[in-house]
Order: sequence, then C-alpha cells, then structure tokens
Amino acid sequence: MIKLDHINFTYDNHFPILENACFTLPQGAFCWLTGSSGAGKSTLLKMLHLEIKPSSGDLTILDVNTNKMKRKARCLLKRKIGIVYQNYKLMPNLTIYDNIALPLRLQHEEDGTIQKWTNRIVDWMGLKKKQTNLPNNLSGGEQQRVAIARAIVHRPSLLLADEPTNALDEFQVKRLMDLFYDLNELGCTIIIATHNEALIKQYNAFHLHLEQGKLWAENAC
Amino acid sequence: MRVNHRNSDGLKLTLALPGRLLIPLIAAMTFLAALTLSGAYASHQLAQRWSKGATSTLILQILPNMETFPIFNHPGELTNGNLLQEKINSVISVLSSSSELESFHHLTPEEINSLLFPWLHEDIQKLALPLPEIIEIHLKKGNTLSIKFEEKIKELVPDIVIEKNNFWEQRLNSLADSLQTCSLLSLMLVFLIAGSVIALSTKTGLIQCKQTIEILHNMGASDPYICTRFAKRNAFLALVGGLIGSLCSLPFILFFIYICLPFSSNPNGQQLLEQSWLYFFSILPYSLLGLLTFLPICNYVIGWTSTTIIVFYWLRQLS
Repeated sequence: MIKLDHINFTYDNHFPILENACFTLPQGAFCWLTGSSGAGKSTLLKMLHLEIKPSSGDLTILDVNTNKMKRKARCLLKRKIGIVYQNYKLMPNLTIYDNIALPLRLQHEEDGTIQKWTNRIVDWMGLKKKQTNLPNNLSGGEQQRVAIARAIVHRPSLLLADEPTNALDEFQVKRLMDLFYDLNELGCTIIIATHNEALIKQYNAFHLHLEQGKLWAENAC
Repeated sequence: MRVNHRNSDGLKLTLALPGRLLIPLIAAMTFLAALTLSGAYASHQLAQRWSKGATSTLILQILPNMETFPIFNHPGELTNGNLLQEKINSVISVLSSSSELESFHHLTPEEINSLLFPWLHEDIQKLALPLPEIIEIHLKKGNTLSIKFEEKIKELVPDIVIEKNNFWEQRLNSLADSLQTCSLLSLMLVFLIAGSVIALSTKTGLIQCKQTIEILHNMGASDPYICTRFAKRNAFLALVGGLIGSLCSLPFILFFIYICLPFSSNPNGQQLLEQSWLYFFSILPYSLLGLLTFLPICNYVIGWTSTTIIVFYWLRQLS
C-alpha cells in the first residue's frame, strides 16, 4: 500500500510543490499521474522513490511508514522500487548489459541469476545486439528501453515511471504497456507520470492529477 | 555470441582516485616516517646500551692514607703503605665471595697512568699525587648494588668511595625519552598529513563521482557499500605508497648504520666499515625491519579509516 497523508513539500524557494496531498493506493494498483509541465510530477515520483523527504505529513510506501525510517532500512526499501527517470540516468561508462544488471548486482544476487534475468529482459527489449554498447552510442528510444529494463529487471514491488513512452514508437509503446500490465498482474504497483492523453484514454486506469500543488484523485481524502 | 561482462557498478575509481597522485605523496610520507622511526629506534638502543653500561659498572676508590704520604707526614713513616694494601685485600676478598658481581678488576698503576695521561700529560710516577686505588666492578645483568653489600664494604673500609653512575643513567634516559617523544610527535604529524592527503583525494573523487553515486544510492546501494568501494581503493593506494616509501628508506637506513658504526657495541667497528652493503642489510635488527613492515600496514589502516569517515559524512550530506 502507498499512502500520502497530508503531505506538504516545498523546495528552498518556499514555492509549494505539494499542499496537503492525500491519497491511498492499494498494492497492485495501476495509476496514471498527470499534470502540466512543472506541476511537480517528477518531485512526487522522487518522493515516492524516497529520494526526497516531505516537509510535513506521513508517507507510507509498501506498507512501511518512511517518516522515522533509518538509512539502512531506506536503502533496503529502495531496492523494492524500480524507477524510470525522464532523463534515463544511465551509467555512461557501463555497457547496456551492465546498466541493466546493476540493480541485481546491488542486491548481491548470484551471477547465474543475474545472467538469467538480465539476458531475458535484454532479449525482450530487443537490445541483444547492442548489449555491449555504451549508452551514448544508442538512440533516445533505445536509451529509454534500457532505462525501463533496468527499472524492472529486479521485479520491483513498486514501479515509478516518468514519461516512459515519450521516445518510443507506437509499436514499442504497445509492447511496453503490455509488459507493465503483465507486471501489474503479478502484483507490482505501477505509477506512470505522462502527458500522453491518448495513452490514458487507451489504457483506462486510476488517475491522479497534480495542479498548483493540489493532488486530485478519485479516492483522495 | 558469448559476452564477457565486467562485474562493475559504474564507479570508475581508477579515474576518480588516481594512483599517480596519491602513491608518490604517501610514499614520501612513509619515507619520512621510516627515517624518523629508525632514528628513534637507534637512539633508544644506544641509550639503552649506555644506560645498561652505566648502571652495571661501579668504581670503588680506596683512598690512600694521607698520613702515610710524604707531604703530609714525617719521612720515616712512609712504610705505612701496608695499611692500604690490607684495605685492598679485604675489599677484594669480599668482592670475590659476592654472588652479585659478574667480574671485577683492580686497575694497575699502568692502567691508571694511561687513563690519566691525556689530562696530566705526565707520567704519574713522576708526580707526587695521592691517587686512590681503583677497582672496577661489573654487576650481573640487570642487577644494582645491594645496600647490604655496600654496607659490608663500608664496614671494612669506612673511607671507601663507591662511585655509582645513576646520574648518567638518568641523563641518558631523559635524552632517550626526549628523542623518542620527538620521533613520536613527528610520526603523528606525518600520519596526520597522510590522512589529510587521503581525505582530500577522497573528497575530489567523490565530487567527480557524484552523479554515479547518486544513481547507485537511488537504486538501493547502501552507505557501507559505497564507503567500502572507496576505502578499498584508497587503502590499496596507501599500501602501495607505504611499501614504496619503506623500500626507498632502506638504502638510507643502511647508510646511517654505516656512518654510525663507530658508536656500535662491536669492538671491530672500524674494520666493518669495509664490508659490503649486503652485510649491513644482514645486520639490520629484526625489530627495525618489523617496524618498517608495519608502516605500510599503518598506511593501509589510515587510508581505510580516513576514506570511510569522509565518504560516510559526505553521503549523509548528500541525502
């Protein structure tokens, strides 16, 4: 379960990004997050990924209250979350394969497991021929696929994606959405921030909208 | 197609923490530390030897009877020297039966003459000086003269002078202590500088790897994991620098041994000056070699500790 209870967040310039935000998502939910540019979608995703702390309010991620969480526990919880950044944030000096395998390595998985899972996702993403390339030698769409592969390779319980389809063609978008739905079927909670209205209409799901610090949702408190 | 994948996390520490900067600096620090340590060791050994010599050697002076001396007495009574001989004999008999002594030696007039000649520039036989009879006593290793023994001798010869070298022992000990304190302070300073250099290098490396560390941290890499990655690299560089510094100091230490040979306990010190370098290496004390080996290990520990502290606090500031 993910629960935001009267969450407020402001950066140093005191401009409120989130004001009294409340919502609850059960485990295994699929959710769209929309809002105009600069509304704070990425900030909310970062908060859900435990990169930033709320200024006030209670934040519960995967049934764990994160307010008084110790650093070690925070690290362990982060390993259960996959994230696709808008700017991908790939390691420039690692090959595609190593980039994708990174979350598994950080979880100290066995080499056999790392190879099996990474090869499977590399194949599925159609990146096998380019697995030894460095990210800078790939197109934007390919880099985005690598970022998605890295986010899901360790089968997270929560997947956060910031505009994961903006560099993909229609065919890739459909495949990706099928993959997300498959993951969701397996119990993974998915939150996707997007501007793509057509996609939202095509794949009907729970919808959160962020505007001027206010979060609107069907089950908001 | 079989692809070999490196077990890497993207932290390019060979670039972020380059050895070409840290190794020479650490080697120079270790070199200084090795020389300081050797100096302290040498001063300690020398002081110990001198101190041992001073405490274990005593001089007994049996004064001649002034009344038997021609200047102070009537010429007819000169034969009264038997009294002095009696005193000497009784002291020697006590010394011979004592179990506290290693050896003793009654100095002959020739020996006294050769001792005093540099000061008097004249044969003592030609000078009418009231010189005492001298007995040099060597106590057993680690022993000091017991009060009982001292009282026994004084009972036999009340005017005997027992010259102890405690004063010199104290002086030598304070000299050795002060030298060792100076060395310890120098060592601490050297280690402090080495630690600061490592810390500075770590900080530079962290700034260079900031983006990568942020990504790793966000993927769930723990603080100890990142600390250990940096600490391993810096400790290794410190160890290599330490080994180079220690090895470079060896020829200099051998040279110091060479120039200090005249102060050595070896009676053939002068002849040893013609020996090969290999010989000097073979006579290097094991404890000193142990200390030189210990220095790179110290560097390793300093490298590991200072890096861990810096990375740990830097990560705390990061998130």
